[in-house]
Amino acid sequence: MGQSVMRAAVAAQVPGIEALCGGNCVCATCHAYIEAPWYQSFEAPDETEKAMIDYTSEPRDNSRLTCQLQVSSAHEGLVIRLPASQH
Amino acid sequence: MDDATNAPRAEVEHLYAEYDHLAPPIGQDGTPYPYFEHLRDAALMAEQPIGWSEKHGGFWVVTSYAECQSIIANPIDFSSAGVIFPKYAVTEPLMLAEQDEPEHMRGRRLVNLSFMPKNVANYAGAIKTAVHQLIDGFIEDGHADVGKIIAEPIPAIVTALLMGLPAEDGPLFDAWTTACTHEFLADPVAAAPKIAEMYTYFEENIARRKQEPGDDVLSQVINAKIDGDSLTHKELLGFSTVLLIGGIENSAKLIGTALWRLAWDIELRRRLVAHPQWISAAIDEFLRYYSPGTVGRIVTNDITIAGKTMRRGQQVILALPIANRDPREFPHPDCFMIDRQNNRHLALGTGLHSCLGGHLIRMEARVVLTEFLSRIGSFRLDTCLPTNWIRGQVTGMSRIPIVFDPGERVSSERGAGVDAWLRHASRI
Repeated sequence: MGQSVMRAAVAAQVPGIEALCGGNCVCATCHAYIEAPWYQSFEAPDETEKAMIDYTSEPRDNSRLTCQLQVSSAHEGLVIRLPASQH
Repeated sequence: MDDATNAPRAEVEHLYAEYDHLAPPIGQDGTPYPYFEHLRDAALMAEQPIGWSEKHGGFWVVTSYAECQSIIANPIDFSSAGVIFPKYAVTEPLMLAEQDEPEHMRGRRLVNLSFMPKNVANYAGAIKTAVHQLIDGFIEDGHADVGKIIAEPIPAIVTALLMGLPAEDGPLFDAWTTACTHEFLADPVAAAPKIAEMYTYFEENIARRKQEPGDDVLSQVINAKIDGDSLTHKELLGFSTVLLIGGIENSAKLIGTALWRLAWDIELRRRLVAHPQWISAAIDEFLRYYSPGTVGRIVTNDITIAGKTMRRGQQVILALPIANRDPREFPHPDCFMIDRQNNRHLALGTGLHSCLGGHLIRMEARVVLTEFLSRIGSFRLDTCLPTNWIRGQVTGMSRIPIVFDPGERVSSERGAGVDAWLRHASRI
């Protein structure tokens, strides 16, 4: 709770979330697809994140950079899926 | 403490005092890694992850993963102004690399999207074509120096494309980069006119791009506004040099060292030939195992880390080739494992300054290795000729003489960039 999805994933050694820039929304290597209904439960992405998502290798409608997603009690049971590659 | 406890500490302090990141001893395997492993083991045994080197006027050396990571992630107490030490022979500060916040991020946002995966993927086809044309230049011979004719040309050809510069100027870029980053220390008289030539070249290209903007990264930077202002002429020169040096240095060393390893590591080569889908993971392991770059910082506030008090203004060198072999982060650190999980190496930095070209270098190396192995699946080092490990702040194997069974050309076409490199390598 109170941390980003990226931080939680890295702490849990989840493979596939690289997060090279450490949560600064610079590298787009923490890209993930957020399953319904949780996608709508996060604040909408800002312009910087939206632009970066567009230039990931496989953007989809439910793409997010997980360093920008703050976890709260509303996200109990959150399911995310990872792209084949972050590069 | 008794003498027995002091002995490891005395040994590692001596090793730190003699440490020179620009001139590590080269071992019998042709690399500095036997020395790096020795220093790492001594530091681990003495529990001294940080030491003081007496070289280059004195600087702190950090050899452990955790401390390197925490320093890179701490832009408050450590400035990137000291990323290169001693400074390269450039007259304008390196934009982005030597900048701190908020200036760094303002500049980075100007070019960041150009280096995202979808944009760098646009260059994959051109790289593939260039690799095959270069191979066509020597495949009938059965021998080649693939440092000179693959690892050096490809990054220069890609950088020319990215920056909107003539591809045939690639050999010049390589000579200028070497002059700025290596030659200026060994032979400053020879390096100076090359560096002057580089700035004149960029002056002309900046002027041309102002008149005729293209869709290249240099045009983007020239025509960008930051808080309503254009970049100054000096800043544009600083951007040009950082894109040139950044585009060429790490990629050439990564590709060269990988080809050298594949020339003698038969098991690894066979696995990658049989399973090219593993090449991407292998590239990150190459980056960890033979990390090309060592980076520095300057202390901006007095701070104590691992029992060492660093004073404001002091230089720190993060020995990434050693930190990326830290057994506390990487199990079996001296084993080359292409199936390594969570390979969070620091070879391309981390945090705000994580490498702008991180996606590009991975794609570039993946295309080169995939295409090279598809044409020349079996090759070995020509042991009659020497290899050469380039030492400096960015290091790697640069002379890689190989022999193989001659093959056939697939095409007689040559792009301008490839033609210039083949002429440069005296193949015509």
